[in-house]
Amino acid sequence: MTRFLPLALAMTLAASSALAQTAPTLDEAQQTAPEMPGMTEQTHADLMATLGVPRVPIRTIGILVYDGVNELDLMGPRYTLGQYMGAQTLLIATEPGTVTTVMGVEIVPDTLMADVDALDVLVVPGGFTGTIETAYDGEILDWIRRIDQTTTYTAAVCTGTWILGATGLLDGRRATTNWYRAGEMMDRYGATFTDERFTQDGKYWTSAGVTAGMDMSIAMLADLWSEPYAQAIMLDMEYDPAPPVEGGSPETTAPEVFNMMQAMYDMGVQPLMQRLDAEAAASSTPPTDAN
Amino acid sequence: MDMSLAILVDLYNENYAQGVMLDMEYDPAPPVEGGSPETTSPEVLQMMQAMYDMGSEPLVAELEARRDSLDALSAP
Repeated sequence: MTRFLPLALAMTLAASSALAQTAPTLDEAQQTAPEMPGMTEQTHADLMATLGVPRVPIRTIGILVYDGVNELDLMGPRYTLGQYMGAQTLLIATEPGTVTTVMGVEIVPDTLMADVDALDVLVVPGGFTGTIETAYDGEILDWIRRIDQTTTYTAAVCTGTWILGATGLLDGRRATTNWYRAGEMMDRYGATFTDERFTQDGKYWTSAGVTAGMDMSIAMLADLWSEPYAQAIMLDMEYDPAPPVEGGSPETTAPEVFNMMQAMYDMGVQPLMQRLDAEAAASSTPPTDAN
Repeated sequence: MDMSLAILVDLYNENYAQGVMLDMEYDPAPPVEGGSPETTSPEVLQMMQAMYDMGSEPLVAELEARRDSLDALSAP
């Protein structure tokens, strides 16, 4: 059912000329829509009445991908926001070639950062060490700041908030992020950690770790379109979660498991951040032995 | 995901699965009620079912007709 739902919906809604005026890219969706021999005018009318029209017209959704990105951070929003009919959803790579995720999945991105000038929605997913390296990459941070000037919403999932934070765009804002040293990390970027599953502050949306990106994306769909629309997508995803084990947050995790996970993250994160901080400080200090 | 976590519990143990769940921060909080036929409003459920019907039924009919004609050709 992966491609069926959005295309079917797109064709249905493309039939509405009123909507086509507010979201012209539905024409594109109509061109790629499959044949629907069973579609009648009555079903058209019923579908339209149920879904309504988007509250906020969106044409382009971009998800930044880089080596070491967490695949579930990006795939939740890719699947969920990708169902906003009439919008193009792009995986945008920081450099040419395929991207290898934190768990070793090879991704073929749709386009390159250098070829994207504007987006309606930007999503920055997180990961582990690759995310930290990205948060110290001036070229990528500049691109995010530039794109942000064109967006309706700018969002980050998990430690993607560290990248967004490093741009300075979260300074003075409320934000949430992955549980790992969340308060310290948000302090670092001048943001106030909300400890929520997801947070919206103005045009900035941030989510807790990995799977929280799905909850945030569903809330974004409800905001951009409507609750019934989001509910239709949730049924398509059969997203009625029932974790078989208690856990998933620091509060619901056994202390020994939590301490082990935090120690493991510390080992991966702290030496790398110290090295990158030192390099950044060295490159911003004027040379003392100029001759 | 729920099934995979249950499989991890079965293959390894609960603490292991809990470590993975914390890594995924899997403490779901869907912002809209739904995700199952029972929790979806009847008009949304009917719309989705009608849409799946429209996408799948003609395809199944076509594939079965093709299979039947191939069967007829290969019949002695």
